[in-house]
Amino acid sequence: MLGYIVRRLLGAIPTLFIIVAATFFMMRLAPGGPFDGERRLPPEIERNIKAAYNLDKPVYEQFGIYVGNILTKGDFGPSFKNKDFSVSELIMLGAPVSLKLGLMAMTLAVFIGSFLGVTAALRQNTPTDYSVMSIAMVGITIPTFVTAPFLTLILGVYLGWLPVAGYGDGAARNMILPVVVLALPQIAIISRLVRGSMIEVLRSNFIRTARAKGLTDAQVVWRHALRAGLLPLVSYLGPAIAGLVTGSLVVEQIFGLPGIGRYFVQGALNRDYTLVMGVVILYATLIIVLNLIADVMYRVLDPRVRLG
Amino acid sequence: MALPLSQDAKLEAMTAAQEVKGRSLWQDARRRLFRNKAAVVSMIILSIIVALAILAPSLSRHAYDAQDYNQVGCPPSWAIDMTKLDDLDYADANPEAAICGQGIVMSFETALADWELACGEGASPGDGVVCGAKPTIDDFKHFLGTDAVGRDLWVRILYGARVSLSVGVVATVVALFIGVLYGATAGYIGGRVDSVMMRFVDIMYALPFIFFVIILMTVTADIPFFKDPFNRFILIFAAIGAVEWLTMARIVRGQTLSIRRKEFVEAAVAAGVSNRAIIVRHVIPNVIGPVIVFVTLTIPSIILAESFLSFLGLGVQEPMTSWGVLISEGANEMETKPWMLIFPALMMAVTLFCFNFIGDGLRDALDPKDR
Repeated sequence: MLGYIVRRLLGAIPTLFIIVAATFFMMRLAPGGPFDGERRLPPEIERNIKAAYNLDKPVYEQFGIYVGNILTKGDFGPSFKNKDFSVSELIMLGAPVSLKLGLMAMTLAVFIGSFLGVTAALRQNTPTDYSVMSIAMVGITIPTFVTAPFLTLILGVYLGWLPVAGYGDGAARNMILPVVVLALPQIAIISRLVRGSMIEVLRSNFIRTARAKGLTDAQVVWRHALRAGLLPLVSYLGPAIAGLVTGSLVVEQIFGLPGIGRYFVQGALNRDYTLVMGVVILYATLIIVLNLIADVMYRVLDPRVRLG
Repeated sequence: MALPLSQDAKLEAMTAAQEVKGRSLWQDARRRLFRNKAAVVSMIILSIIVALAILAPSLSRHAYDAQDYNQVGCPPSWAIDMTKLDDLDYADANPEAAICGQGIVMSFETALADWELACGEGASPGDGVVCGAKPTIDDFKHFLGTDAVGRDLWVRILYGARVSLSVGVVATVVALFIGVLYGATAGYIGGRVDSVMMRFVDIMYALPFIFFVIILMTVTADIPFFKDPFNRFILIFAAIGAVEWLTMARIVRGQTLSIRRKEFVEAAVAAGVSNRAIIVRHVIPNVIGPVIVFVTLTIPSIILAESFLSFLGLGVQEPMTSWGVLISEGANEMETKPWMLIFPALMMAVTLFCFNFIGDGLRDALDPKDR
């Protein structure tokens, strides 16, 4: 097991390196510097600025400095557009908001998704099953950037139950819509996933044995079927996080939440290269690490994988 | 008790059985697909949408980027261009007629009747009423309304469909081409080449691809060549397609690995057929089933990816439009002009549903396990 973890960690290093390198050199491909504003700067000032941001050095040296600073100081450099902030500071500013949003959405998605999936599986081929699966189809097909404005239009504008946008210092009222919108596609995917695996588990021999020895339906489901049936959820953790991260770009933008995703989109629109790079590296690391954790957990939980 | 059949009857039954034709995989799949109602309905709806998108220029009198200054932000209605019936006086005389922009919203029938009354044969125009030409149905134009700068929403949705659908199809073809070649090569050659090639795919897979597309779109936004809307359009194709091929490569590789061990491939090798020819002639045709299913599911995901980029402002640029752009504009204006959000979103949702139903239908139809 330890060997497996070490091997996976070592495998993640080249991946991360490629991500950092690809991001860095793609950004450097862009013509012009980050300071080509409407106003022409006097050459000496421009030279000073470039020196301050290490832009006067050769590209490979800049890359070395960049990677070195990340590894030693966790420093992603200064933000090119938000002059008084470093990228790390901006990320730290946004992190609590994004983390809160993501965790709440993830929790909601796992609970509601599993509940719907198990319900549908226990009532396979009944109207309950069909309605859950059609709702899941809607959730998977309709993207976040459509559900978000629609729900806002209905619940926020027409009915006036919830605020249309804004963070409101994280008040529950302000978080409901973003969290629900972000969780919807994940709820849909998880309920499909859980339904499929539960149906398979319910047909398997050990469930028949459990029934044969006279356990009640509830005992069979709670004690035996659920454990095996929810297992695929663990390996879905990684992709789910990736989905939430992508979704948060849209959700934070639409609802005006001051999270990392919003900084990222603003950065991309303003060509704030260092900020964009920093966020991509952060997200990629996050996704790789969580994928790793998911795989390890899966091995711990499923004896078949451990032996195989 | 059944009577024993006569010799003749038995013979007849046997020949009848022989006359039942065997069905090929494809005939079988088609039959199963056409029995799936959701898939059939989806195919019909999708063909209509595609036809509308192709015929878009001839379906409306409006250009997709033309602004109608008389009808800025008008709700869906058969609004008349009131410049033909002196509008301010008319509005005073008809308080029930809603004002939209500088035009007045009313039904064609009402407008025609009013015109007949005021300016028709035998009528004498009252004080201050200037008679224009007789209103025609052509004046009742923006039946899905107009956007915030007075462009016809219906035409923009159709032009958005052209962009969104063609991005979906072209990027899928890019993904298909790279993915099938890459996957078939890796799977067929196998061994070390295979593990290196698939290791590369694994690494790419770990990346949150949408971020790389975003970086690419950001970086190229300043390059003069990519400022041209058409070139930017091509770049979107390439960027999205270049990422979506990974899954395709994985699927094809898996299929190829299993086909490579089949006898007919061995026979081809024994007959001295070159590797290239075996991949192109024998392997690829046999992996096409799962690939088709994947293609129908990739198109909607690429349409989504493009809309996602456009929604964030990184995709197609004005005056070109796509469903993502329209939804984004609609979301900004939804409190006062909800139709700008509802119609494009509806159109896109219907299209995505259709693709998904067709994909599911194809998967069921082509899955030999399900027979």
